[in-house]
Order: sequence, then structure tokens, then C-alpha cells
Amino acid sequence: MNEDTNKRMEKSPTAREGLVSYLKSLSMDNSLDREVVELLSKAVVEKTDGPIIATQVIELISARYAQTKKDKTKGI
Amino acid sequence: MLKLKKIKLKGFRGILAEKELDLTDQAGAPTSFSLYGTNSTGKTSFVDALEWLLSSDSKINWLQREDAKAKAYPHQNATAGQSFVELTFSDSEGRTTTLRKTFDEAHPNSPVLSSEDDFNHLYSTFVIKPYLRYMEVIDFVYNQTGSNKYRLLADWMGFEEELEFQEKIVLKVLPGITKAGELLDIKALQLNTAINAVISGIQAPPNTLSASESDVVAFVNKVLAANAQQAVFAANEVEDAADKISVGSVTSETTKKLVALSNTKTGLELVTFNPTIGEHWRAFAADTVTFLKEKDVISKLNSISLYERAAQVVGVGDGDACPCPVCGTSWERTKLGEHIRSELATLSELRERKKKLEGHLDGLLAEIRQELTNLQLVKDSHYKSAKTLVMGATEDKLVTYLKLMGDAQTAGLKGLGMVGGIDIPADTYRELTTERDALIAKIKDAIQAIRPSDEDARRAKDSATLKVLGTNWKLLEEVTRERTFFVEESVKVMTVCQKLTDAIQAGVTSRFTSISSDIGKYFGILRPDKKITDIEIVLKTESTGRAAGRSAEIQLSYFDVQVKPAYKVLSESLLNSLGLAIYLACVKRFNSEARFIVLDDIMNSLDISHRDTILQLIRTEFSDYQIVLLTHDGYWFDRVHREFPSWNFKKILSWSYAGGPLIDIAPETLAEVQTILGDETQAVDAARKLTLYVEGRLSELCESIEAKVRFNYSGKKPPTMSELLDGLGGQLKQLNKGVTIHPAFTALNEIKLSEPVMRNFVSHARTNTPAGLSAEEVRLALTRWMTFEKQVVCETCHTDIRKIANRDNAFECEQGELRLVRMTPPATME
Repeated sequence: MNEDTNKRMEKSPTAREGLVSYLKSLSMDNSLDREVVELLSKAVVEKTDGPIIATQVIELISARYAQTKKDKTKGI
Repeated sequence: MLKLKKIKLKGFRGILAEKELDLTDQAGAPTSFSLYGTNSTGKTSFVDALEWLLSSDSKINWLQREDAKAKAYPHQNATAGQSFVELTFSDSEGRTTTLRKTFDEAHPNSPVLSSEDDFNHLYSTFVIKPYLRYMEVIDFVYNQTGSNKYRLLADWMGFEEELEFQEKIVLKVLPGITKAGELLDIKALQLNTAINAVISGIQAPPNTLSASESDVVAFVNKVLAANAQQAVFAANEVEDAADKISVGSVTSETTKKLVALSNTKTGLELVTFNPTIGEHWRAFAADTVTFLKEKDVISKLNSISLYERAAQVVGVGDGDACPCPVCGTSWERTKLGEHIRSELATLSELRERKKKLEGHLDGLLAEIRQELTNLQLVKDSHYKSAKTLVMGATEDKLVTYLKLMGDAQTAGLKGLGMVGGIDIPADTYRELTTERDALIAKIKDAIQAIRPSDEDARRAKDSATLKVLGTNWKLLEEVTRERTFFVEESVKVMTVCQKLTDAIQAGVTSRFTSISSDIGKYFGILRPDKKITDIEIVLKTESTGRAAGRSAEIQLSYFDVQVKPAYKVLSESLLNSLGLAIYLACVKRFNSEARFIVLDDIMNSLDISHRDTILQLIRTEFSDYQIVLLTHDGYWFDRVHREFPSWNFKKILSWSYAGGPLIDIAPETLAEVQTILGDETQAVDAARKLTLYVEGRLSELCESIEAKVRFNYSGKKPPTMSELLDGLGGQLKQLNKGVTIHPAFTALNEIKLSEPVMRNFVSHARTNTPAGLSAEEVRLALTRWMTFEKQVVCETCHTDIRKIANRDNAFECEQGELRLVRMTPPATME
């Protein structure tokens, strides 16, 4: 955690906005999975329950796998 | 900077008729305020009202533990739509805004706001909730575990949402991903088992659970050889080889159908349903329903940590009735420990049950997810095929079961409360297998109807066996690929989650660090008598338990030895001071715009001798804050009144059900005595008030200048104030030099002349004075006292003189403005 992040978290009017803001900054990081970052941002905003976030993450991975299979079938 | 001007409420908590607290000075500007009222006269209703108005989710947290949900907020006789709380505040530019929140009976959790934008602005002006109750200080002190402290600090420092999200990630998302990966392993294991079961017909089952490709190929080649087909070299060629056998036998449409029927039959024979999931769900739902029936006890679960701490600190001995520090019920001291242990045992058992149920639910949800995937696959393949091949094939039970599993998953994801609404009948598994067996029987009948030759029947059977084997092998490869993919994707998810939790932890640590010096400073003011330094709140990240990274501890240096956690060495009163220092440091650090603090009876947790330091802390560190003090302690109220004469003081004279609290201006005691003396017939009442006041003040002064007070109690002699007066005189005498007498000493001696007038009429007999008292006598006593107070109380900072450390014959007020030193004798003539 760098100083900027600390400042951002302190300046943020609410912790939730601080988290969303931090997640937004993570979405700029190309080394990270953007869809996962977006899913978690949505979960923060919508105050999604933990088990539902877990299900959404697993479904995201399953959907990706299905797409990979589909692409392979199509020869992509 | 935002400060409060007025709180108005109606039909809320204990206040039915409209009431308001005016928090302004004579010029109409916001000022600090103190409200005195005995127990149960409506003080806390004002704090509840403020909390409700200031919380964005419109909740009163301390009432949650009593299970008093939103419906309990309005007064029970309030007219619908007439329960409201209104707050008027002004900002640094003098702009005044009034916000009103009105309770909506139809939507108890969604009150009507006078202006959503203004409310959002108000919420954005503070991070730390600007009100603190006595119970919350105690709660913090008694919650001894690191994770509980972390939770409380989250509440005080305003990172509760980060904590909540951190918990979701650590306790639900990451374990959920792990569980999903494990289920893929289980699926692979099931496929391996199915494959091994087929090939074990010609070969002993392998020792390893993983099917060996060479074993599969060996088995398949034997079958192929028996059907005069070429051998295969890899297991993924088996499905095609099965087709070769069937192609070899196909001589007509009838035979084609025979092969299709055989394939479907073999497939259906290998279909399995989870035989125990229904039973597990029913048992779990029954346990959950039973658990939730104990709602009265469940509502107390939040208090469990208080009982845990209380069990450690409450000693067992003889004595008077004393209240339970958690629930407030009055017990004989000998029975209090018993009560606490009993409550703790009940709540601990309940907590364990709740944890177990939640863990069980997570496991069940994973099983259900797996079963749903399996059912969909079976429905789309074997059942679909059966329906096209045989007349009257039905899948009703399967469809019903699929829906039930979907409903159970939805309910389970919503939490324990919804589980009881889903019933998986006991016959479900039997009906499912009966339906599947009926399908198999129908297919067998269809095969029989075709009357194939023995050779065709054998070929069809071999083809079907290889088909299933080949399909399972491909599925196994698929699952293995999916598992690898899942691991790779999980790493990506975990990387993001780790970044997030790191960010949250770093943010929290940064908050801890930023307030540590203030905590040390405030604690030093509250408890100057102890050598406690280097106070720090530290995030515990080194532990490996479930609470790693979500656990806070306070460390400090106690007489130069570093101690962690603080409660190892600190007494209860020191911990109370520490709790208060932490809260106030948080407010100072994080609430830059909202400059008001409401403190409800917070001094209760401190003994009398350490309450003054709270006032010192307020004076030195929070002079630019608007302080709102509520108290049921008259003595403390007087003390605040003396030290902060510019504040606005009110008292609650009485309380009635319909009228609520009757609030009036509270004059300072000496001013009140003067007012009473305006009526000559009330001299005794005035003397009573003056006496109580003087006795308390003498005690305080004796303590501050470290006077030695003689113990002189005798059941036969009526007690007087002479011990206090003598003690004080003994110290002040040091200021005299020969015949040069210090004015303070002179003034004290004057008071002694009025001593018989100033006697505690409540507890002391007045035997050595005339039967009546004149107003004149009392007025003289009052004048003498006021003359003396002028000598020993600073007019600037309003604090009493105190002994200067390491110096005899000198006293001074807190800020050093008033200094009493030994008299210098007048120069003598040579």
C-alpha cells in the first residue's frame, strides 16, 4: 500500500467509496483480471452477501471455461 | 465546521410529546451543553434520536443487541407518521440547516428524509460516529479478543465497511473457490471410480484411484478383438471404437435402434443421485428452525464477549445487590457470578451451534451446486435420449428434484433464516431412483421387443459398454482440464482479493498509526499517575488463524516494559481511560468537519478521582469542539458547571409518560442558593443545598492540595465538616509567614464560623445549633464561602488550586494563572 492509497482512503467520504475507488485503480492494472475487479466493485456497491459473491466468482470462471471450450471447437 | 443548534423530536423512544434541546448560547450560536437528569427521565432518548438521524442506515446499534428493531423506535403511543427527529446545525459560515427524519410505519427501515442531498452531505461530514455511550466504553474494554477489538475499532474509526468486505473475501469467497475446486476433484474421483468399475470386469481394480489409461486401452482392445475390430492406442479413441462395433452389427434400422437403446440403458444404469443430500438438508433445516426459535437468546449473542470479560472480572463475595454489567439485572453479589456464568454457558453453546450451522450450510451449498450440474447433464443426455426412444418415458421426478435443488440453493444463499422454507420430502431419492429404474425397465422391454440375435445383443452390449467407457474417459479428461483451468483462474481471483485485503489492512494500519500519538497524549492527560507510554494499536497479521489480518491489539510500555495486549497489565479503570482516549483520538483525527461530540454518561466507567481529568482533556484538546454531556450524576454535573460556566446547562426536572421529560435551565448551585434565599422562609432548603455543595468542594480541595484529613468517625458524636476544614487549613497554613497570614487561610477560618449552618442535613443530625435558621445566617455562610472560593479557584481557567509537585508552600491552578505562595513578611524597620 503506498501513500497515495492511504490518502485516498482517508479522504474518501465513506469506506465503501474508498474501496470502489481503490478497485477502480486496480482495473487500470493490466496484470490483474479486470472482470474480477469489476465483479468485486459491484459487490461492494451493492453490498452483496459473501456466499453470493463466491457463487458469482465461480460462475464467472465456469462461463470462461465454457467459452474457452466453445472457442476451441470453433478453432479459434 | 459543523455544530449543533437544536435537537427536536416527537413520538420517538421515551418521548411522546414534542421536545427539543436548544444547544445555543445567548447569542444563538452553538455552544457546549450539559444535560442532567436522574435515571429513566429521557436523556438517552435524545442520544438514540441523534444516532437514528445520523446513521445512514437509520439504525440504533446499541438497541440491536436487545433485538429492538426499527419498529421499536417510535413511542408506543405515537400517531402514525408523527414520529420524527429534527436536527438544526450550522456550518463555519454560519449557515443554518434543519434536517428532519420521519419514521414510516409502512417501511420501518426506510424513514422519510426532508432532503436526501442534505442528509448525504451531513453523513459525509464525519467518519467516526460523533456519540459515545457509557456501555460502549465498557464494551470496548471488556471485549478482550483481538478480533472483537478490531470490530469495535472498525466501528469507531469508520472502517466497518472495509472490515465487512474483508470478511466476505476471507471467510466466504476464498473458501468458496477452494470448495468448488475440491468438488471438481470429487467429480474426477467419481469418473475414475466409474471407469475402474467397468474395466474391473476383466482386470482386478487398480490400487490407485486414478484410472490408468493403459488399463483402459487393454480392456477396450480385448472387447474389440472379440468383435474382430482393430486395436486402439489411446483411451480417447474408445468412443469411435464403440461406433465401429455398432457399425459392424448394423444391418437395419431396427439394429440401429438396438444400439441406441443399449447405449441409453447403460448410461442410465450409471446415473447416480446424491443419496444423502435430501436427508442432510432436512436435518439441517430442522436444526436451523429449532435454533431460530430461540430468538430471545439469539438476540443476546452480541453480548457474549461482554459476558466473557465480565466472568473474569466479577469477583464473588458478600455484599449489596449489584447490577450485572451486561444486562443490568440486579443480583446479590454472590449470585452475580453465577448469573454471568450461566448466561455465558447458554450463549457460548448457542454461538457454537450457530457457527456449526453456518459451516454446515456452506458445505451443503457446495454439494447442491454439484448436484445441480450433475442433474442438468443427466437430463440433457440420458433422459432426453430415453424420451425419444421409448413411449411413456417420464422425467417428472427429475424435473421436480432439479427445481427443489435450485430453490434450496437460492434459500441457502440468503442465509439461515430462509432454509426452513424449503422442504425436500423424504421420498425424493426413492422416487428419483424408481423413475430412473422404470426408464431402464422400459428400455429393456424395448430391447426385448426387438428380439435381437445373441450375436447382435452381445455386439450392442459391447458397443454400449465401450461408449460409456469412452464418454467417461473424455469427461475425465474434460474435468482434469477444467480443474487446471480453474486453478489458473483462481490464482487471478486470489491475486485481486489479496491486493484488496492488503489495501484494507494498510488503510487500517495507517489509521492506527496516525492516531497512536494522540491516544498516548490523551491517555497521559487522563491518567498522569501512571508511567504508561508508547501506546500503539497494532494490526495482528502474524497469526495464522482465521482472524489473521482482522485482529487488533493495543500495545504499550508499562514502566518501560513493552506489553501486548494492554489488558495483561492494565486495571479496569486504566482500560476505561484507554477506551476513552482511543475514541476521542479517533474523533479528533477523522472527523474534521463535524465538530461536535455527544458523550452519554461516559464518566461512569471512571472513579470519582479520575473524572476531573476528562474535563482537563476537553479543555486542553477539544476546546474547538462542541461537547454535549449527558449525565445522571448531580455531583459531576455541578463539577462541569463550575469548570465550564460558559456552557449551556439544563436539567430534567421530571418525566411523565405523556409529557416526556420536563427540561429547565440548570443554574449553578451557588446561584441557585442565592435565588432560594430570595424567599426568607426557604432558608433551611438553601442551607441544605449549600451544605452539600460545600462538603463536596472541601473534599475536592483537600484532594487537590493533598491535605491530610483526619479520620474521626464516632457513632456517638455527630459528624461535622471540621476534619475537612482542619485538613485544608493545615495545608494552607504553610502559606503564612509568622504573623503574616495568607488571605486564603483567613477566608477559610471565616468559613469555620459558619460551619454549624453548613451541615449535611440529609445524613447528619443538627444537634449543636439552634432549632431554626435565618436567611441571614445562610446568606453570610454563602458570602464567606464565595470569598474563600475566589481565593482558591482560578477565574480564568475555573480550576482549583493544586499542589505543585516537589514544592512545599505553593499551589497553583491548572494553567498556572492563579498561584498561591508563602507570604512575604513586610519589611521591618531597622
